[in-house]
Amino acid sequence: MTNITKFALFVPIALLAGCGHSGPSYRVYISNESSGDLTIIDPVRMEATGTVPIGKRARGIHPSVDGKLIYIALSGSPLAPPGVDESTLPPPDKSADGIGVYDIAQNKLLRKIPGGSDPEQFAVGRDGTLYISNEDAAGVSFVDPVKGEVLHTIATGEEPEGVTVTPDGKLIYATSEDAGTVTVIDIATAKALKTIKVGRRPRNVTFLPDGSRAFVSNENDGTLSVIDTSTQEAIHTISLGEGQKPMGQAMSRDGSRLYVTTGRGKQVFILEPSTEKILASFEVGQRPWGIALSPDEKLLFTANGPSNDVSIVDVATHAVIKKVKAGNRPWGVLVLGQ
Amino acid sequence: MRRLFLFAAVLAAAACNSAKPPEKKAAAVEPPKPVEYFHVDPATAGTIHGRITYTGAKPERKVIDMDSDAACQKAHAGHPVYDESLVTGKSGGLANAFVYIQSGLEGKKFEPAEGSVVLNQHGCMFQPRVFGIRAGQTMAVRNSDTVSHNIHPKPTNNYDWNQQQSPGAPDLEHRFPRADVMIPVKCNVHSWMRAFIGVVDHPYFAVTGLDGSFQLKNVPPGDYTLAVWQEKLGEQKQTVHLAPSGTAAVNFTYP
Repeated sequence: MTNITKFALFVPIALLAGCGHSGPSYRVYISNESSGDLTIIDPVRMEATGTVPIGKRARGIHPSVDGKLIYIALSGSPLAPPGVDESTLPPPDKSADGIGVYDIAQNKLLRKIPGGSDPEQFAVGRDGTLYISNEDAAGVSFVDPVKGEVLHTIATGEEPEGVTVTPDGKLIYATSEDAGTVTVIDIATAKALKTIKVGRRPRNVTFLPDGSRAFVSNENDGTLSVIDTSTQEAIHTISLGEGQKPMGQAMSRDGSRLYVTTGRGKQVFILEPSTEKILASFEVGQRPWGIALSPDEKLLFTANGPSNDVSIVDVATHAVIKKVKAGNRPWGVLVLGQ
Repeated sequence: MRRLFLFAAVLAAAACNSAKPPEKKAAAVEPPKPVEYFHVDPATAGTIHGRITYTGAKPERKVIDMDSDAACQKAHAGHPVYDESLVTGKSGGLANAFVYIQSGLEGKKFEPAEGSVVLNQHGCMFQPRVFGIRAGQTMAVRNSDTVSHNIHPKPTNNYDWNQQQSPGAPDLEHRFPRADVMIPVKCNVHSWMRAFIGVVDHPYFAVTGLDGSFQLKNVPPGDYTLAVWQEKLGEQKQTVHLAPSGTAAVNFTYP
């Protein structure tokens, strides 16, 4: 190879290297319920950069305390709607139930730890303990993810769903779909303290950053219940209007905005928690459930189950900038820094 | 040089040919064997019967709160609707108990059941509340109400699903291919609605009425485990020997 040829090759390679962006400061992770995998989205290129098999019926998704691992709720009780000939499918596999532990650096599933029967939603405590709602068992299980042991199971109302730890890390608020209640559990004593009546089919709880208020999305009422955490009483109800099915929630870091997905309502609502007023609502996609904000809070990501995609929304203009193809039936959204 | 190439080419071709696997003869495709069903001999078949009783304090009848849906309330024209999770009749008969042969029929494959079993949503209640169905038999879910429902069975040994059903929509048909006792069913819209399905792979099951009695006819003679399930009181079981052309009585008492 002559020197001229070497130079001719070197120049475009150097240019290409220089053109490349330095990579995003965060990634978006999507749990896909039907395909049982994790879609990893680069928010700068606004495209999926990888898909990692995780396990059956991947739903709830949260990071470990050190941000190195991602936990994903898995269930061996898959979906088969009417019209599907179940006899052609393998039988349900309860041994597939658990919490998948995904290592971000290694980009692979490390192991599966027990999570009780059919886990769907969970929260991660400050010491790393997982608090998992077990619908069949009408309780919340405390799980040590290192030992892989269920430490306690606390009774809640029938069919517990959303589980959230208070910002001070001391209490758990667990919704009961069936009873229309929120059970407050003390982490230190592993005891249920109080049951608070909210709306019908409560799905999720989100707190103001100072922990003074909790917002509960009531799917069947199309409302949010506001709980005063000092008295542990539901004090107000915010209506989102006819046809709205509030599901997932994301709170801004300063507590000035609460973003709520509305499932079959197709929309995201923006609320101002201080006034409890609806500031805006806009359509984002088919049946959005999971929702998360980018670290700079300029973008919003929603998992749209039936259309198998993730909407990327410009928070300032409320415009859907792009819909990124995910796996089958995307469920949860996690935004995590590199 | 040219000769050398030719020699190498011939050698390579020979090697390739020798590496070829011998041609396989096409395997004869055997037609699937017909399923051999077990047929009960009527000359030796017998009957298992009995009664389920409840001796505890008679539960207070709770009125179901349908305030959240005016159409559901209207369907009952102002009359109270009572919770049916523990219903007893005269002399302590326990209703809505599911009785079935739990073991003793292994290896016997029974002919599939014909027809469908209807689960109706009427007055924002499931009717019937407890029923049995054969594995693979069609369940037709009907909405007779003026409101939408969202039926949601929660099986253990079959697949999970839920489906919205509008008023006047056609029946939803579904088959549970595997035995599963019991499958709780709820409505995702109306939290008080409950039904329970016992899916079994044989024809020997019954649901008790208000007198608590049951009868399983045309049972082949043998030794069985008979089980009874009630949604609040749980499961009990007993072994039973059924002699040829015999009758066996098995009674259960709760609690």
